[in-house]
Amino acid sequence: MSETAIRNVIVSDRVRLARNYHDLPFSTQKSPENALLCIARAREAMEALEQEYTLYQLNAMPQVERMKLVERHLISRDLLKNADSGAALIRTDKHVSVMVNEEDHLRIQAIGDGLSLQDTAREAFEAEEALEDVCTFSFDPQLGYLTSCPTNTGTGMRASLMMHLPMLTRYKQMGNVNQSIAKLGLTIRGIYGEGSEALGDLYQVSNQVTLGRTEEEIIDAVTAVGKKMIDMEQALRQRAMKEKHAELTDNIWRSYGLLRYARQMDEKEFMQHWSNLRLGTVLEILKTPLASVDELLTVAQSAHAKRYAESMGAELTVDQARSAMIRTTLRLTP
Amino acid sequence: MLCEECGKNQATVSITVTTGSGTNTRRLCPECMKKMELNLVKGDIQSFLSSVLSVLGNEKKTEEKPSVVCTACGLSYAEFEHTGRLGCAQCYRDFASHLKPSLQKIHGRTQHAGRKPKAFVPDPQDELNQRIIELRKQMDEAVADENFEEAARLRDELRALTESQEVTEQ
Ligand SMILES: [Zn+2]
Ligand SMILES: [Zn+2]
Repeated sequence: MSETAIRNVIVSDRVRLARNYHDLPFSTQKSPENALLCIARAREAMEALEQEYTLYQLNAMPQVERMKLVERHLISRDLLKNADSGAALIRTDKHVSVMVNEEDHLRIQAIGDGLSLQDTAREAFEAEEALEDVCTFSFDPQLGYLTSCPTNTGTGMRASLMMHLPMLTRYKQMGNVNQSIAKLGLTIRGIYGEGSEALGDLYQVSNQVTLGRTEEEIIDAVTAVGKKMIDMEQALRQRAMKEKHAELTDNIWRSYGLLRYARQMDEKEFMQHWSNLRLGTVLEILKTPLASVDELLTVAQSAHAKRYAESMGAELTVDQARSAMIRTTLRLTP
Repeated sequence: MLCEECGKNQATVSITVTTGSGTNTRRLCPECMKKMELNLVKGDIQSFLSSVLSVLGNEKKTEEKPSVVCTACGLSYAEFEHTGRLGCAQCYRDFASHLKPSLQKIHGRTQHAGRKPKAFVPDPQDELNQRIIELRKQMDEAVADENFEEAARLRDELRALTESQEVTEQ
């Protein structure tokens, strides 16, 4: 499969490992001493690595800065619920992060770009091994790595792909996709938005099952499904280009126009037009670089927009700041 | 207090049964009491006794589920069912009999197959069992592919392994 085909559909890939120290109860919510111990151990472990990690302690950060980490997918929303004790060690290049005191003591996460789960997993395991040098993980020969929630037990691994699937969505294929991948022990859900809506036509495919499969089997299954979905999405895009060319290009240019010239835009509207912007870019109707389009997905989220407004010293609402951010990005690119 | 038979209605009657091992008092709701008395009316003292005794025998079973508590962190199984979160590693051992069916339901399997900690020393018996499972799988695949020669070879290897296992067990 070509790099282009992959980049056209997959925004990023991610591997997350859940681990707990063997000598502490899973939840650190009621024990500040244990919470601090978890952070201290993780910090010591990451210092042994060549690449630099920075410690972020949530209780020392303003809410908007915490949200920025969420918008970059460096920490989870669940970690925000434990803002008193939650922390994250984040590698300077932002590809690896270790969340501390979330649902489990440690959530090691690596993010890659594309369909390279094997490489991404290697990055996560590197961090895992550094942590293991300092401590002992809770492990059972039969059940594998023990986690707070039994849905993560075993490998403790979640391998996922963030996929942009505008055509599978518009041709109403997501229900079928969901059904057929459930049989493989995988699951798919919208990344943005509440309930069943998937803002921006962005979905996360990941393994549901963590026990009784090796890490390789899990990665292979997610990768195989990812490839299959790329093929399906690409085929529908080609079909739409043939059968509905005028409508499709009109939609894309309208979205581009709004993103380029609007003066305020809420998250929902932004996500809808962003989907068309990305589609237009990969179909080579628009000339915006794909990297800028994907970066926009992060920097036009609310916390980033709010921070941007503050840095400009302007009296802007979040929706106005979002628009300003989008206009700036699109103005700087052809 | 709730009826010890059905666990739903308020217990209003108590019945004392004397058995060889001593005296036991059960508290029941009128409905359950009636069911038991019915046996008595039928003139069958034996079945009346046995139904009351089954309540005694059930005591462990019915109480075990809600009241099993982790010996390390004190989390009860009922709390786990409520939150979906276990308290510590010991919970997995103390709730093992209840957790196994849930794990089977979630994952379809109950034997870990992935990475192990660097410091983990495997039990030779586990290693052997693992090898046997693997060989069985390969043999099934060989049969499915109609590769009978390979299947026969795997069968012999399996046989040798299981025999050596029996020897070590004796
Ligand atoms: Zn009753
Ligand atoms: Zn426990």
